[in-house]
Amino acid sequence: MPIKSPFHPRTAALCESMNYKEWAGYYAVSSYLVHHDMEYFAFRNASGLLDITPLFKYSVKGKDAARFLSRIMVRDISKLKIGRVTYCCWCTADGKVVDDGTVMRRGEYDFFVTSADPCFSWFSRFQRGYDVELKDISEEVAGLALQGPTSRDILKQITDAPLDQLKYFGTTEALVADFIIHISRTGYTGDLGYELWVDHEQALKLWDLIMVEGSAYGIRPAGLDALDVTRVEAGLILKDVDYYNALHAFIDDRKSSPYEIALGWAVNLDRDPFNGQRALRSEKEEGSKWAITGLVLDWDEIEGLYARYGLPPEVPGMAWRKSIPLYVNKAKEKQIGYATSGTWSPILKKNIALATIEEKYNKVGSEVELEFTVEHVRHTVKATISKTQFYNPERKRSNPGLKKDKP
Amino acid sequence: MGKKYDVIVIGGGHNGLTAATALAKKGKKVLVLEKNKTLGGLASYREFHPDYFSNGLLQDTSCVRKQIVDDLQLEKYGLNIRSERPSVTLLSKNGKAIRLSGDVKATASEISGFSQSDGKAYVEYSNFIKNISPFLTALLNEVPPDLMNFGTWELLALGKLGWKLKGLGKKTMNEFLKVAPMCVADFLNEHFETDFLKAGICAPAIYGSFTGPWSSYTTLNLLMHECTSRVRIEGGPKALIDALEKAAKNHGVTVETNNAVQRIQLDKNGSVHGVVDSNEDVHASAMVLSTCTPQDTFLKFLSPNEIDYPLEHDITHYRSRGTTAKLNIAVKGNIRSRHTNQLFEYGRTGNSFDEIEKAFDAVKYGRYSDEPILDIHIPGSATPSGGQVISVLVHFGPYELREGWNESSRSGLEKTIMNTLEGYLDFSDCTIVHKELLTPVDIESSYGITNGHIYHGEHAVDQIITRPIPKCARYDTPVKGLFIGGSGSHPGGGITCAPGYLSAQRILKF
Repeated sequence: MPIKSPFHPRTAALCESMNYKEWAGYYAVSSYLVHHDMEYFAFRNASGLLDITPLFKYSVKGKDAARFLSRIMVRDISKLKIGRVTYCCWCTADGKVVDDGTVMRRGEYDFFVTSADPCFSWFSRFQRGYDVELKDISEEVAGLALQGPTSRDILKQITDAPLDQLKYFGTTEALVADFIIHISRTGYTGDLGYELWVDHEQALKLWDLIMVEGSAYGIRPAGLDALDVTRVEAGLILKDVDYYNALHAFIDDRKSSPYEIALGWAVNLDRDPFNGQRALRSEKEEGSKWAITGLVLDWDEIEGLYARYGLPPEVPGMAWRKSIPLYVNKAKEKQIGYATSGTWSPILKKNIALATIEEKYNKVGSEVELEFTVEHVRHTVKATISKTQFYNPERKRSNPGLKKDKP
Repeated sequence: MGKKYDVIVIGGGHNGLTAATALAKKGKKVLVLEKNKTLGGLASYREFHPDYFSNGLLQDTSCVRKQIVDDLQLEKYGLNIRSERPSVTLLSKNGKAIRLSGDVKATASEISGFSQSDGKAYVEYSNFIKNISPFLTALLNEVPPDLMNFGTWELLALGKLGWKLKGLGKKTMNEFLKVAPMCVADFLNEHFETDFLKAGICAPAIYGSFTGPWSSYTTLNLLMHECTSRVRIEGGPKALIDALEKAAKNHGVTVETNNAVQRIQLDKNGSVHGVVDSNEDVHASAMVLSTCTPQDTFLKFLSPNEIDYPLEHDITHYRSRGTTAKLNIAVKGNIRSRHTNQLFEYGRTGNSFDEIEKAFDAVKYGRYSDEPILDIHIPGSATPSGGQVISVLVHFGPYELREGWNESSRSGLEKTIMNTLEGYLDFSDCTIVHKELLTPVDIESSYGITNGHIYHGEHAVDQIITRPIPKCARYDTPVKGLFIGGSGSHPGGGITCAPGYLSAQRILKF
């Protein structure tokens, strides 16, 4: 039986569809209404409020906290400034990705780490020799994601924290009513948005404040179905969908390096030894086998395929996640990869997907063929390789409240 | 930046000196760094009281490999080695004693004085040892086959061992395969009837293995000891170290004592680049051979982020719970044996399997034995002023004593040892000048061996087959350029010279 997050009394009352899924052992709303489109548009045009308590959360404190995290992460965390957040991944000794998440530096010796899989046992393996206190605070701290163009305005109603100054991937402490929360300008929608971290005891108070103040800004509670559409639009990968945790992979072929899942930019190779350094260094030299890339499906071909059967073109009702073969040409002469997740993007009006493709075929602008089933028959449609960030609005990283950004 | 060496050997114990000499003999430029002021490690000669010297923490030199002594021509450097192991007197509680000498016939006839059938059994037992020796010594005196990357060569190497096993003959082979996994008590019960004889024979199988006589696979330990305990070195550990030092220096080995390695330096690619010594001087070398414990080698000399987690995991789970204490006693006057007319040189107590097992039980629960098993050495050579030294290896006292090692627990253990010892030795005609007790904690701090384990890790069957761990079982390690060759490597602890010699052979292949 899944357990209930501290927000459950509110989310359950609002969840008209009764449509839940299990996320890391918690009940998680898939969509509040029977279809998620209103929630999606809240994310894109107003604000959506999503319960992200099921994420795993760790506190890393102590004199050697930065060195300790630098040993585990592919990024040099000792370079992370106080008040900043970084997104990165961590690897096995063979340089294969275990999980990805964010690392927030709240103080010189105070870090907050989120992950998708439980990682306490993994992290704790590396404590020897470091003056560090690692704590699993997953069940002490609740999380909310407030994402969308009006999210900053809503937060300004409930706190005096310097939100105009808080930059993309910044984090700050904030006083809300009579309690303290942590705000990070992060999220999984690729838009302006924040994640709020609050003690369990204050969780409901925070929810209520946001919903009350947010009503003037078009806020809606949002579920995972809407989030899934936005995360594909933003080109953000998902563990167990777009890649596997190397510790859970049944076979070596299922393991991926950071370079193979579009996280190569996060790897800082030339520094003190860290987990996977040697393997990653040689992969960097020798080249990777796989890459994660974006695909934009050719609408005319899709329309044409449906027309053959006398059907109007269909678009998927929600984001999908399954493995679909990717070929070098229509004759399916060679499979060069597979799409792992995709969606119809309502805002871009495009059929998009994330795919794993052999590195040598990964050239933005080049065309490949993706299997496409219409009327029980497997066809292919042309797909153009694109950057994974399909949707990337300027407001995601801008600070219009900052003087220099003002006209 | 210091001079550039081909190989830097960490530790000037008998294995370090053996390896250094073997390498230098083949033209390698070698530096040995020893943290103590004297060479020898566990075999070092040490003044524990003015004018009184302990002849090594370990006192048994009977397992030194003759072929290594020959290859390094140690006799040329003053070593006097004979192909008959020294006699050991087995002592019972009720005043009986048996002298196990290298001469099987003489020993058998002495045993027959207690039991005709045991006398006969001893001859059969000795024949069995003799018969299996070609196989076991082949196993113990060569670089072990590579079980991690199994290929044609490894198959051949294993085939060769298999052939040697088959060469024992059907009867001996079957007997060997039957008894090796047995507990030593069951094995010896099949042949002998006299309790203290059985206990005395089995004792070496129990030393440093965290087992009692009723633990499985202890027979294998016994057979390995019996097959390799073959020589007598006049002058004991000191004589061996003196000869090794001369040989090493004669072959051009640079030896620095009083110089502790602080850490091993790796380059950007994680390969060995040199070592940093106690003066923070860097000695450059692409190869380092550590004869320290596997734990010190990987966990102390390297930073936590310099070794991969799987290696760290294996090393931290390598079992080396120290269970041996040492008591050095300085005596003036005459010590007498209560059991024999003449004072023995080597004596072993034990009395019965059950008493050894009970003594062992204590350490499982963090206590020292109420009646410890004693491995007594009385070198006999008097000090200039006519004193004598009694060295006793005491089984069992735990590294992690539940009540902690302090003044009261130390004096408690010392009293217990003396009470036991006085059952065998008569001190009435002499004065005890000084007693020095080394608990496993003291052994760790004075000799730098993890948990004070006298063999750098337990002699348990898994840690013998691939010693210390599968990844490092052939002296090279996952850290490029770093080799290990102390007692924590094949074929194990004790004064044998074998790990040092075999690791040198392996280094010469790189």
